[in-house]
Amino acid sequence: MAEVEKTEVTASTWTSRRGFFTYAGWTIFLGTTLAFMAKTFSFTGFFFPKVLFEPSKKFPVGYPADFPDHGVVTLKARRVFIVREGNNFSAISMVCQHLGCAVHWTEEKGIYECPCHGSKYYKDGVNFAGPAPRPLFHFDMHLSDDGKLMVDTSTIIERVTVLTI
Amino acid sequence: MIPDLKKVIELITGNEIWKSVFRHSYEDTPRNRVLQIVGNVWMHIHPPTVRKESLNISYTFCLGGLTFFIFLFETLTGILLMFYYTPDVNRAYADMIDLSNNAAPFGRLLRNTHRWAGHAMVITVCFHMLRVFLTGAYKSPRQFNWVVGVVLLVLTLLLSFTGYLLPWDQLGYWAITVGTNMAGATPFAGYQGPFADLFGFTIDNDIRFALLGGTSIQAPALLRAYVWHCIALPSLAGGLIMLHFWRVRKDGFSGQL
Repeated sequence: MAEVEKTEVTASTWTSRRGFFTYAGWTIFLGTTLAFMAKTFSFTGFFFPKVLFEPSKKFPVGYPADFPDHGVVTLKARRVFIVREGNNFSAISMVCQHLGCAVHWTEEKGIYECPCHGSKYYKDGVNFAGPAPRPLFHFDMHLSDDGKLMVDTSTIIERVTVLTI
Repeated sequence: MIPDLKKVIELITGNEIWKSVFRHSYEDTPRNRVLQIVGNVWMHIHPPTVRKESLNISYTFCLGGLTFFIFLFETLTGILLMFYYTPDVNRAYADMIDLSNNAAPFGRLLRNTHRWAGHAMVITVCFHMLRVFLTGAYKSPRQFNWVVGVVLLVLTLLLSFTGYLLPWDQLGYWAITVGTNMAGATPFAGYQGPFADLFGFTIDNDIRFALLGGTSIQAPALLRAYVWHCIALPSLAGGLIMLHFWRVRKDGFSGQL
């Protein structure tokens, strides 16, 4: 009887060969699993692509003379309005500051309106009605070497800044 | 010459193949009745004895059962739809229109019932939750099953949300725009949310980016919605439904049931 008890104690101790390999095996298995799970679900892990196939944030929109004076031109695919006031140009984002819908220019009212939740903005992008918390973004503009207007949507500039040609 | 029916039946049911599948005869004997219950595949879901009170439909209105039925229906129609739908920005909308024009047999029926049943599942799961709340069925010892149920509610809403983008139409596109922008305002996770500056979240490294696979809704977002909708979320929901039923069975029905 005493012999049996002694054997049991030895086998269950982690200092035995079997105990050591049991602990080592589980540690390696769980550690590897945990490491892979962590890399999969963590910040900048599997669900964060390293390469993006998205349209360029810098693009030409046309020659300055093509834009009507005091007019708002809608570039739907680029999600940007080009507003001209005499020699001053500005590029205003179409993306509503509330929840990201595309606002549209209403010519007869002279304002931008969002179809989703009814936010309204003046011609210069300043919000005055609806849930929008701040004015529409204004993007950086410059002239390219061949005289075209260029818009850079990666650079947000102050609302009062315009490109004068 | 007419073959002897008893001999034909004996030939079919007497061989080893039949006996390996069906363990007892269909004859109505007390022993077979017990075997039908004890050896049943639904043994774990359904109790061997049912109390008279539990036949009262107005206590549960079978809302959980209805939700489960709709889940099975969605799985069935969803698998059939997958044969004719491509999660590609150039194909998705056209495939959906083709299905609606019966380009495949039962195409319109499949697509429309899949969509309506999706709406219905959100409704039945909410009413099921309301019933459980009103009858106090969430109380001890069923607290854990209430929690499982809440997770299942969230999974139902997520299934509904991811399925919304798949037709790649204006309705789904802007719904996902709004929904993922709300995710972008999550505290400690979104680039527009509180503490975004503290943790350095920008538009290309926050939770919204991980959901869309990009900074705007493009092809990766459609593919991600498809995989979540067709594989990940149904698998999670299926596992939790099993857990849910198992707990109902072990904790017993609430009330007089």
